[in-house]
Amino acid sequence: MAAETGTPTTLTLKSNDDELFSVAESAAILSVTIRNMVEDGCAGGVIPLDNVDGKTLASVITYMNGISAIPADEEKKKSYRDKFLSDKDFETLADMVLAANYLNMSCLMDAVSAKIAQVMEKKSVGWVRRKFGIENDYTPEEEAAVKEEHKWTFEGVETDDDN
Amino acid sequence: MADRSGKPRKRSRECRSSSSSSSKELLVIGDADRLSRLPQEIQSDILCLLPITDAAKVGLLSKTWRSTWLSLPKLAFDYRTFPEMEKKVKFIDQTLARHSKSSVKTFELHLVPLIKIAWMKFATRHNVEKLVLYGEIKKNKYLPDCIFTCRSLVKLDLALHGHVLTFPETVSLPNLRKLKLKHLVLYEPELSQDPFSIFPALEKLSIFHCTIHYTEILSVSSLRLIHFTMVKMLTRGVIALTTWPSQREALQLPNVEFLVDFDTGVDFRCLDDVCIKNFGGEAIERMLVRYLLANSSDLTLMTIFMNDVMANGMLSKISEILGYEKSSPYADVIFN
Repeated sequence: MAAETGTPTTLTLKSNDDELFSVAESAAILSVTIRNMVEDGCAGGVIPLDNVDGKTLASVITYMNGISAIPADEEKKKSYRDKFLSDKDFETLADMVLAANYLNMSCLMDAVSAKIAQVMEKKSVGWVRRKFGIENDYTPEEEAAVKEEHKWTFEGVETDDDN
Repeated sequence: MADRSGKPRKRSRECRSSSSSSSKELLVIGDADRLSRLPQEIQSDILCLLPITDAAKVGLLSKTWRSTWLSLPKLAFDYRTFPEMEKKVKFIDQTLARHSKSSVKTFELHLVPLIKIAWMKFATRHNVEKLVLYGEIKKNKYLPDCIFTCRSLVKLDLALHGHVLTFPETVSLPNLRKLKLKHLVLYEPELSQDPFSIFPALEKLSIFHCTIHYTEILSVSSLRLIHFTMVKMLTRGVIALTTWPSQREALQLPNVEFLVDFDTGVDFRCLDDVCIKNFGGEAIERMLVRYLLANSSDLTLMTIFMNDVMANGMLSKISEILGYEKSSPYADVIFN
């Protein structure tokens, strides 16, 4: 296998919008999906990642490089993750969690999930729906019934601020 | 915050899908609602990170999210996070009534002034693995028997103010590995002398802020026990020698934290490494040390962390303790 030659191996990843990215194998195998491909010997040419677009993949690769450069120090890794996610907008977070899921990267997955939860906390239903572009698939009657069930959630203080 | 920096370059969904050259159709559909495309398991993980009232709110977003909300594997009701509302009890009742999954791995109640028996039964019926009951149950009522025959239970935290702990005649908790008891009363006629031996898989036992009335020794024995913690007891009773004075005031001790690590775990005779924190050197505390030294034949190390009270006549107390009889020839006593 390539990894046995001792020199750092580079993989080429292809996003679903045909952008190509080079990344060190040692960083890329943070993704279990990619690691499995490498181990199965399917990583020779270009690795197509059909569920990740170029912009998201670029971000994920930044993360892979950043986190793999940190030695085994959970504190430092955590603060890197926090910093990495701090400037991401909602769409990016949504894309990122999908990508992390597809790529099977549990550490990124957990961090993005936590970030999304943090964003959703104490916000109104309408706000979350707007920010994450969640499609309201209730019929008006259904929605009224569901709202009735949870009448209290519309009571009390809700912040809709963006911060 | 996150949104602010995102704003200037924010792309509308339409603009995004037209700008991506290939695989357009998929993106157009998918982009409409990215989060809802996540596998339910991951939606679940996100909701489980939210206070339950917020999770319920997200459950209103759409049918997909509603179905995730109704099948959450973790239900943690914490009265501190409820918004100002009168209907907390109703909310719990309704949430449980609508829950659609047959298993709920984690069920937690925090600071609930009156825990309903029905809620506890819900948990055991849903094969709960981690059960936290923090609050109060009806005075003079027992915990329902179903808790003690819940075969799925792995971790049980009971923090019930002033509740006298009793175990029913039939106890079957073959998988219980962690037991935490807080603010309970452990009372000898209600509990046996060796009350925890009925849990065959118990690995970790923690007893915090409990009131213990034992006239004889309360033994703690379990074949699997590897970690035992006692913190801030109202009596020093756990290793109660003979009879302790019954007045609580006389026994209220300075927050002694008493941590014991078992090597193999049967009884206190197998103690290997003992650590006593916040040691004030009072007579009753010295008795505890004396008892442990006299009875722990495998002891190798006892570390005593002294507090300010100990400063009074420290040297004479230390020399007294060092003179205690030790049943283990290898035991070292270190003061810190």
